[in-house]
Amino acid sequence: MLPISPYHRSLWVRNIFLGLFALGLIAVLFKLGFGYKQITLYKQAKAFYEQKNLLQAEETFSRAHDMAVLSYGDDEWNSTMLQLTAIRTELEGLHQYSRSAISEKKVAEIGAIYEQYQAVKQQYQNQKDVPAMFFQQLSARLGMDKSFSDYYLNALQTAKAQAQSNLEKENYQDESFIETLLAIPDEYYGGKKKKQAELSALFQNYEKTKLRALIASAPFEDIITKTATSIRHYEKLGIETDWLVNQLEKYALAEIKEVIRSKDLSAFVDMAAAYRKIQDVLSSDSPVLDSITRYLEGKLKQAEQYIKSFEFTKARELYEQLNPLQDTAKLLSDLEKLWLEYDPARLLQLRYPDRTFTDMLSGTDRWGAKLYAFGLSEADQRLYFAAKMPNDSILYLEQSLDVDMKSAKAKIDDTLGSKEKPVIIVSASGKERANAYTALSPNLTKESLDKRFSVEADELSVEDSEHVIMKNAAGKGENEIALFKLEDNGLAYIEKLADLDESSEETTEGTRSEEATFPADGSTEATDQTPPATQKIDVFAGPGEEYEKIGQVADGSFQVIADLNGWYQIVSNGKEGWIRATASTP
Amino acid sequence: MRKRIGVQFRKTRKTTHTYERIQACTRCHTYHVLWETHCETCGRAYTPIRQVSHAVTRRNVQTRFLLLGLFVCLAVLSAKTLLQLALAGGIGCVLFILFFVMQKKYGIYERDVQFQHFLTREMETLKKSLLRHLEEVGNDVKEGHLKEAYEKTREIGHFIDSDTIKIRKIMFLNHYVLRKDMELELETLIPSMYDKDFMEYVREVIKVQPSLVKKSVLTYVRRYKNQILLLENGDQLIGQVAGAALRMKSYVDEYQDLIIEFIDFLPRERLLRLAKMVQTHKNEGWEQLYHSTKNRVDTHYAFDPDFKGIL
Repeated sequence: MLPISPYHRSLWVRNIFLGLFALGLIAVLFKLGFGYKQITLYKQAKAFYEQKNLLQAEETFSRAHDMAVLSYGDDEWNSTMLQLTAIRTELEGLHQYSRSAISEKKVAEIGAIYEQYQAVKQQYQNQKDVPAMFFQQLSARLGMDKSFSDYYLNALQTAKAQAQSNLEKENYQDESFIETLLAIPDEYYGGKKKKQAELSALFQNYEKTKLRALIASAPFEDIITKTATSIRHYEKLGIETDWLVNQLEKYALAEIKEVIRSKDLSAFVDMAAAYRKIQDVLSSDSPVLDSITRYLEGKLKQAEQYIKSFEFTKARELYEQLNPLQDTAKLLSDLEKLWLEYDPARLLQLRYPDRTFTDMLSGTDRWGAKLYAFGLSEADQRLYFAAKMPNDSILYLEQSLDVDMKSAKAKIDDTLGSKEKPVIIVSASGKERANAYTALSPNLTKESLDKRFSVEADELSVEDSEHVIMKNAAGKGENEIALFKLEDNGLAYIEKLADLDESSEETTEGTRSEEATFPADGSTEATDQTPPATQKIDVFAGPGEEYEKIGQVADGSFQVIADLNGWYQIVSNGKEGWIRATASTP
Repeated sequence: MRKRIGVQFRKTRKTTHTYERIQACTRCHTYHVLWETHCETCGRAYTPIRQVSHAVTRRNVQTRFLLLGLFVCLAVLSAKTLLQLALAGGIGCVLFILFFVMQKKYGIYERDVQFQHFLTREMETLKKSLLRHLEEVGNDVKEGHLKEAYEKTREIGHFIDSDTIKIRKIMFLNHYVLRKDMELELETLIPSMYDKDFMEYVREVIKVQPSLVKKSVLTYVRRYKNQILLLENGDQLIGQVAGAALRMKSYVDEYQDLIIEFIDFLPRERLLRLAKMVQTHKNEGWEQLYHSTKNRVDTHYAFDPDFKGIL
């Protein structure tokens, strides 16, 4: 392929420049033509201006100026004409916007346009210079004053009619007339003061009538919510609302007092919660809010009284009811702690609400736990143990038992082991002997419930912290009264103390003496212990003599359900009470 | 000895400058140095290269005028006031007239300068066009059109000064019977090295147009006389060349040695002329030539009445 020849290149370059030149020439011709036209228009505008026909002069000048081909004419006169063009542009813009806003009934926009128009009008009012004359001529031609007047008079009538219609129909969905009435300029009411007075009277009448209608038909929450919405609406529009707030408070106070009087706590909580939601529209010294607060505080104090009198259930119900008004989670948590301290057996009840425990014991400060409780479950042949640890965590342990659960009894024996870490002995009917004994030792550090021994014997008595004496034990020690030592892997036979037949009489006495040693001065082991039958024991409301003395019980007529710091909690004839632990000892 | 055939060669153009032989096809951007008047590819009539160069120069001038016009237009368009508008238009017109006058006055020089530049720029294209012509010659040779091949090579030879071209032309010419009425060439065929075909051609040319033997031919023959003598009748050939040198006194002056050496092979008619010349100029340094001529005449033409009384 041969390169482009100079002949062709010169031809193309020449033709390109010829084209460009032709375009340039056309542009020059246009410029000259438009320039001529522009100058002609300037001259015409000047002629109109001298005839005081400002509208025509400005229009002609504007056309010439828009061409923007040449700068021509006197600068001062041009400046004046440009000022007129600016006025025309502004007025025509306002006229256009106003027409559009009026046709679409945009009240706020119409108001803004009206204010702009009035501002411009004010600027040129009472002046006799060229711009003022031009403004007046243009304003008259566009007919803006009449347009605004027609719109506002019509809007005033329509808004009033809408307010009346709402009241008659008791339908308050569309309250746009409020904005409309407010947006109508003062001069259509006869001045600012007259407007305020007229609108205040109109709105008060409207709202009072509306509130009356609502009270007659709507629930409390609806009424206060709708009224609060109206108050917010008025405040947003800059209207004083004290009169409406007072009306609302008056109504609400009467209603709240009524529910307080009728002791309907649930209704009070609902109404108070609803009322507190609208407190943004209320004054800081709202009598209704004060009343609610006072009543709420009274109820909280009542709950505290319940707690002090150990009526934890009532206190909890009260706290739960008051929760919508005030966050009672902390109070409920504290209540639960106190309740657990008062009744550790709840540890198991809270964990296993569906289980029935046949023999339940509880107490404090053993095995390293703050609180503990354990019980036997016949249904699943287990002993369940719960402990509240010093760090407030709760530890649950369980151990299956291969004994006859119907006859099973559990007790704490702090002679065997130590007082802080005693052994739990579960006794039940045996298969080979009269009784079967199972000893368990909770190890909370390892989170285990260790089985120490499981034996059958006619009788078992604890000798000291390491030894037990068994009568006719199954296996080693059969037909003997023998001494056994508690070791890690169970009971180890030590020695025979007597033959079973030879010592039957002694054994009977020994057994009795063993029974005398069983009611330890410790707490838990008193579970199944009953005081002597003939003794009368004072019963107190709480674990201490500072509590009220609520009566007396005879020995054997009560059931010990828990112990606490040297006091037993007992149940007698369905009533609860506390007795001194020593009182039950022989 | 190959058999020669008789032909009539195409007349070649006589031009003042060699470039006048170049014609351009403005459409194909190719050049032509032969006798065709229309492009074989596109059929467009060839245009003399100088005319093409002038067209390019003319367009460049037009482009400059248009550029000036564009600037004037831009000035007018940029004018914001009537005064600026008038100034732009007025200055534009003045510049336009000035440029026009200058172009009228100095344009003719520009054409020549631009033509030189044009030739330089188009050197490669010209080379390609000549190569294309050479390919055509090759094709003609293959097809046995030796006459066309010679005619084309003759035209190409105006632009390419090489032994290859010269030897080719000699080869082509040696195929034909040379006649007096032919436009024969000799000087333009002298190769830079010895070539026996050239000497064969010289032998034929001297027979029909001895006037073509010029100084360069005589120098060539004197330079390679030993090789020429090895040719068949080489001594006679040199004698003929020496005889042809007798046309001008200056040749005789310069090539006395050659004439003396081969005086025995001068034809009778050339010896007669030599005798007359040496008689006239015997005292102008031709003494040795005079004696050699007298000796030759005395020994061979003592009784020839034409030689009587000359020496």
